[in-house]
Amino acid sequence: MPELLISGLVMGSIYALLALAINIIYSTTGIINFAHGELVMLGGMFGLVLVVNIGLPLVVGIVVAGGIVAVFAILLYYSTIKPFGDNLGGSLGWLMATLGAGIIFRNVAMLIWGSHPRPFPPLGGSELINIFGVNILQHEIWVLVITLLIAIFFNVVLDKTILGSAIKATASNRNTTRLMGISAEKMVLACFGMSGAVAAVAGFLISPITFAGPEMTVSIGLKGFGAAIIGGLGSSRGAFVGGLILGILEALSMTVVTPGYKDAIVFLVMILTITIKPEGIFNVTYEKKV
Amino acid sequence: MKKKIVISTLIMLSFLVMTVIGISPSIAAEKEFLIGSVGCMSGPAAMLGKNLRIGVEFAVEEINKTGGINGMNVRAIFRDDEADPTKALTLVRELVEKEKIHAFIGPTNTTCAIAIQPYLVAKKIIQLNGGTTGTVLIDPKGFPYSFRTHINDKDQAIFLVKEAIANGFKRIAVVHDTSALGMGVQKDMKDVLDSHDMTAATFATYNANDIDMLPVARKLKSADPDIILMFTLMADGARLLKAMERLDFLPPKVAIQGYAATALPIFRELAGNASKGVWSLAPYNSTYSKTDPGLPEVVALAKKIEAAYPGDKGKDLNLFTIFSYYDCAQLVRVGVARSKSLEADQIKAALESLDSYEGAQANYSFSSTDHEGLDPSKLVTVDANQLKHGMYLRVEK
Amino acid sequence: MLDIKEIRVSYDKIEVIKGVSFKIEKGEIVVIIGANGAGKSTIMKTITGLVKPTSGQISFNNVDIARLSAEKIVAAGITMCPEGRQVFPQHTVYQNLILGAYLIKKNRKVVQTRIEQMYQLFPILLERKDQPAGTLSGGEQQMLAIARAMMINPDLLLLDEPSAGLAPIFVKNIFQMIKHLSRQGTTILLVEQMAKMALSIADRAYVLETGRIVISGSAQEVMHDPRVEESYLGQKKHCAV
Repeated sequence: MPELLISGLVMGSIYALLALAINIIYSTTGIINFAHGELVMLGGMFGLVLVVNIGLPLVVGIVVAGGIVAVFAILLYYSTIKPFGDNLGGSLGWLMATLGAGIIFRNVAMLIWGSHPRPFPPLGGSELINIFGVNILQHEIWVLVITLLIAIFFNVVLDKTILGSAIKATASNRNTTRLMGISAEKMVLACFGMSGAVAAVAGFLISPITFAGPEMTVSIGLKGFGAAIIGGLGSSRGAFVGGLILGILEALSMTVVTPGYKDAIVFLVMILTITIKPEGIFNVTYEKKV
Repeated sequence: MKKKIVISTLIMLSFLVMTVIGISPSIAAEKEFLIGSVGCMSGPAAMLGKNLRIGVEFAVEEINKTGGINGMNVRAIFRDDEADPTKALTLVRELVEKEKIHAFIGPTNTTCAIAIQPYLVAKKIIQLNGGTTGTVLIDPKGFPYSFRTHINDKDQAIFLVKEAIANGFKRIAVVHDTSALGMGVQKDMKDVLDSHDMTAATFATYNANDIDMLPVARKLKSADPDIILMFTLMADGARLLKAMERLDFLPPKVAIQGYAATALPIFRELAGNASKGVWSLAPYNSTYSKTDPGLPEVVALAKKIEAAYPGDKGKDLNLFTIFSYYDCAQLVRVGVARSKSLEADQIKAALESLDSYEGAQANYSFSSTDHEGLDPSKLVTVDANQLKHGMYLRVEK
Repeated sequence: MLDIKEIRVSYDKIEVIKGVSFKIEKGEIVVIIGANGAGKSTIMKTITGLVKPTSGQISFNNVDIARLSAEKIVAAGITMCPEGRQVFPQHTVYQNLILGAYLIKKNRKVVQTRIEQMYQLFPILLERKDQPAGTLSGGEQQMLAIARAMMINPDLLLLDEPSAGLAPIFVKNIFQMIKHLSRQGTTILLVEQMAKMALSIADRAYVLETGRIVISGSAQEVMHDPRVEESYLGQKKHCAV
């Protein structure tokens, strides 16, 4: 059982990583970036090029890939979200545009790198270490620790800094924020940049587990959105807890119930959460924009 | 007014007559023998089309070097259907009606095959299927001109269980995904086990593309099997082996044997150390043993392919799939040469009379009631970690 | 200080400001009165850059700001307390004030001094400083909105309908506060439907009707203009509700 808990926690951390970055964009723009899974994939693929092909050290690779994917995320904003204007709540154009951008990213990645998955070096090597009779990879501990650090980072940035205050204000009322001399556009770009960088980190953390390939985030992408919804959209604490709940729930339903029903159970929980507690576990609702 | 109608009818009639004369096959008038080939050459399944193209190209080159088919030079025309059935049908129509192909090899996806086979029957075009596995595709009554050289999933499933029983394994565990393919495999394996009065230690299932395989691995381990049969997609299988490694439940503690895809180098790379000692299966002729290097012609062909696609270039290739398509083209040659005809019915009869044709992949036999060239008895257990020119080492259990 | 020349503004090709010119001198309180839909708020939004004029000039301290972004105009020294107050309801009172000082955020000492000054001016804000702004009463929110707009000590403060939706007692309070700010040296442009109250504290006034200025002059002159008496002051009851 303990190893199940660990694998649940690791999967949960991965969902949490996705949810955290999805949240930060939701906090400023009120939209959900459906291309986020593909940004994570790009992080993994650039990681492959930088670390495996070019031979950069892992940490340097993460930083460089973080920068590259941040730029991709910003380009994504300019191409799929900005064209639909400030009144995003009133149009669903961004929904199709982000979904479409994700598919384009995936297909272009296939053209460049081919479709088959490739192995990716785990942080701390591929030797199994034995802790309390459970074999785990050092990488898995890193996944947990880094996810926790990123969650704390977002929590601090959003709740304790002027930047975070300005980001939340932008989400709440864009025009009034501009009257404070705060550039709403800069806030949104900052968030897209941060989500891109976190996507790249997620790519490095996920790839050794799923293998790196254009389709590596197809099945987990949706769970990331699920984690964000269960935890409460807009709350980094919620994203973290939501992710972990989802991961452990999956591991449990795979052992206790038939694995075939795993996804059904997870999405059932998600639907129940939306129905019973639409604001998620952590009730942080931002007021709707006027 | 009436005059005009009469004239236009005449013109149309004359056109019709001309076209009928034009397409009527007459062996003397042909200079070139055309093989049409449609497969998925882009997108996620691009490697399927790649195998097809390489196999057919190598065969065509060799056929032309040895005098072609009945003196005709052979040319292969390739089209990419992107795994889209509608596109596949359009492309096959174009090949048949515009290029006027004499035989067809492909496609690479079952859904595409379903879309084009009725058309091939209507147009009486011989089809050699070298890579799609759907059971319904081969049916001498419904699709009289379709023949298969590839091992289908059912035969693989039957082979795996029969081989395990023959080798004295008592507690057989099976792992597969919950797709239609996976559930079909479960049924086929159950049938074999039933006929031996045995039951599986467990059928462990998961959803295709699941990431966390630890629960599946645990289920397998707790069933305490002496052999695990793996019917798992590439990355899923690699993740499963890694999870088994974590539970310290790998060969030699338990025997593990996978279906054909687990022989691929790319699978071995993904699974890393965890794939050590994991057996796969392959058709006999594409294997070697410590004492038997394999058929000289086959080894020569394998070397040629290895030289053309060295190292990473050949990573996503599968030798016996290439062989399978190579054999498709060679079988077209044999059929036409034996029947001395370009008529589909004559070629069909010639192929059906092949009782033992030694191909690169395996020894094929067809009959008027069986268009599957392979059966489980043509398969052997291999250790795919020990490759020689892309050929697999046979395991003597 | 602010010199507006012939500005025109359109929403979706419908022209709502049809060539408006006016001036504000340093230290003045200028009021624009007019009925609902006359274009008062649009003029405010145009000055702050939230809406761009189709033609015309807005020069502020001899610099043309008509094409600048809203953020740049704030940096130039114009802040606005928008219609409906628009405090950030999830943020605390303190955080709202900090956001008002966003442009000078690096100078923490100055920000703290300004906040202290605002607490002195509006003691209720000190009392409520850790409360989410959404929990404040309408009058308190208006004070917060004004304090927030005063955080960077602007040269020109725009107030859009500060009395809207407030009980009469608060309205009086707010107007006293405006007068006070003016005495401390802030130039003020005020848009109001409560014409009498606004005119009583203003130096000069403009009357806006369907996108055009129809009457202008000192507050006294405008107050005694018969047209104003009839349409704006006579209907005081209606406007005040």
